[in-house]
Amino acid sequence: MLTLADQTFSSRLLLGTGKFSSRQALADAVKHSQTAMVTMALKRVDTADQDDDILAPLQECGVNLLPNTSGARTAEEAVFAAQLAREALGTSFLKLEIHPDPRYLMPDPVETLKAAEVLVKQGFHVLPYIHADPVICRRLEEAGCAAVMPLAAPIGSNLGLRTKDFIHIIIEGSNVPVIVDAGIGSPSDAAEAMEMGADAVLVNTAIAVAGDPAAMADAFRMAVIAGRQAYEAGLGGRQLVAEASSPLTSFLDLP
Amino acid sequence: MQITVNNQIHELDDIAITLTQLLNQMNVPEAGTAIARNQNVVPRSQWDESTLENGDQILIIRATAGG
Repeated sequence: MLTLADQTFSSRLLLGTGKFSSRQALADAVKHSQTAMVTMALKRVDTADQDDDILAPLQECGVNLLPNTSGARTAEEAVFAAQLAREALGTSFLKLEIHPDPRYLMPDPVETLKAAEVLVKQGFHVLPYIHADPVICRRLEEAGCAAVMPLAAPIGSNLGLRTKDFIHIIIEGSNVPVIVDAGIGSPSDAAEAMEMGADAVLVNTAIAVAGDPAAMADAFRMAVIAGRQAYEAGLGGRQLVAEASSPLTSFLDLP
Repeated sequence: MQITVNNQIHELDDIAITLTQLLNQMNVPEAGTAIARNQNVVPRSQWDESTLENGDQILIIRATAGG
């Protein structure tokens, strides 16, 4: 079971809700993923806009909601967004994300740490989206974050575990759950992150833009379970030379 | 009375109107919604009592799809 801030979750797969072609596609993916927590963003109400309400179907699925601060470019904006999010969704869980640059969406570590320090004091359970930097992850843990969410690759890139070596270091040193976020492109990426000892993964684009999002959600569900089970079972060590798995007796040698 | 809602100017009759009534007028559901008044988040429990005043800057946000 995944534990975040004294709350346990039945799944180690967190699902992002962006980019789905329809409400129904999203609801189907949520069900097939068997996720226990999904992210949501905030937007200004546009009076001319027809309300594309996804909240009701998500609540029907019974999943926990994890609002994000996407759109915030500074700590100050993120703190304000967090307060709005808590009021809108009635949860203290928060995915803190501050990425001022729209091309690569790299998280701003200085602003993220500043915001985390403020938000923890205000009673938020802060899950910061951050670069796979063991030092900033440690600082965020010390600030009281409920988890750290290092990126595998740029958001929505589907590039996979490009930061693998650094995620290893983060997992080794972290006393809070490590949720690998962003860039996971395939179930094998998710399984690999879980085999490495990640506590959870957050997947959005890879499922939302798949040919069959529900089937892909199912594939990710199995991959996360398999990866976790492999980690808990203890993987065998690797080496460059062969080590026979059959007895090398010389029974074929003729006298 | 003039207020702004999400940076758009709204002219209102000079009758006291609450935040709850403003949401109703704009057909915004209460679930998944948050309101800030002059850059301060207004708790849901105060929406029924909080009446708009001339010059108020209101921000209304809703939860939406996102990663």
